[in-house]
Amino acid sequence: MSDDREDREKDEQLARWLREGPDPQAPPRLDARVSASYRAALARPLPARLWHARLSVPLPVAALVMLALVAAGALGREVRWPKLGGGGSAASGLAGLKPLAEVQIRVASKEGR
Amino acid sequence: MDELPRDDELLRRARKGDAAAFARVYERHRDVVFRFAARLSGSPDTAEDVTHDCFLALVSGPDRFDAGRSALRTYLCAAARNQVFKRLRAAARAPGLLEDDVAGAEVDLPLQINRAAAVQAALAALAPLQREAVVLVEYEGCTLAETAEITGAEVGTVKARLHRARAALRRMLAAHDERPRPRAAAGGCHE
Repeated sequence: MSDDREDREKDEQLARWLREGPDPQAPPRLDARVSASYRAALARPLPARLWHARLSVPLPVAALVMLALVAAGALGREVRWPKLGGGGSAASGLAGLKPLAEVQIRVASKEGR
Repeated sequence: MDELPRDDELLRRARKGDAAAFARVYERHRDVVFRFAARLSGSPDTAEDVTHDCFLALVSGPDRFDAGRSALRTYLCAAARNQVFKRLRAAARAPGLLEDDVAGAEVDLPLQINRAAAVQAALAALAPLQREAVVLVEYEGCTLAETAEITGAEVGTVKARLHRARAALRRMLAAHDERPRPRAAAGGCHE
């Protein structure tokens, strides 16, 4: 088709125009700069490398780990009994507790009667 | 005949501190990354920074390159593209700069400049997404599929950008060629 051929010719002409002129050239100082940065990056002391290290974890795994940590924290808080009195254990804190001799139950209405 | 070591193998060694392996990867891909960044940004200084950062990220950042998914050249060009556009957005303070409906500003190219300089000026006048399509296809010889992979766009979108870019370049360069040249003043200036 003549339209196609015309388009192709136009594209080829444009491609020739675009190739006029030199390609951009990387300056020689770039090689030295990259090389120095590479050496510096690889020569970091272990704590610095650890600090800059990244760990890639899938989101569901990260969420599960977070959930497990929160659950473990909550569970740990639940089983740790609060200290009663001066610092004895929960069992020794209940040792002096005596049952009431008589239990009187009184039902009070809202109006206080 | 000895087989050249593959990029991913060299990169693995470079990440462990093999400077010679890093140098080979760098020498293999430096020119394409620099040329692409320079033409896309229009600034050799930006291209220098971008090239530096792209290669350093290969060995000091997280290992994101997957040789099973793309060639290192494609990966590096995509990284360079992201860095150039980050800088362009920051410089222009225009978050929508990289939308497809952003039109380039077609300019009247100065008559005093030669064709090569006119080409550079016309390229710089294109919208960024059109410019990158032209640079990758016309200068770096990328296929439409490779260009689509680098730019993260559909092949059809790349085709459309390329078509619009070529049309704009043709209009600007043809106008530059056809306009009558002013006659040089007597005793004209010289370099």
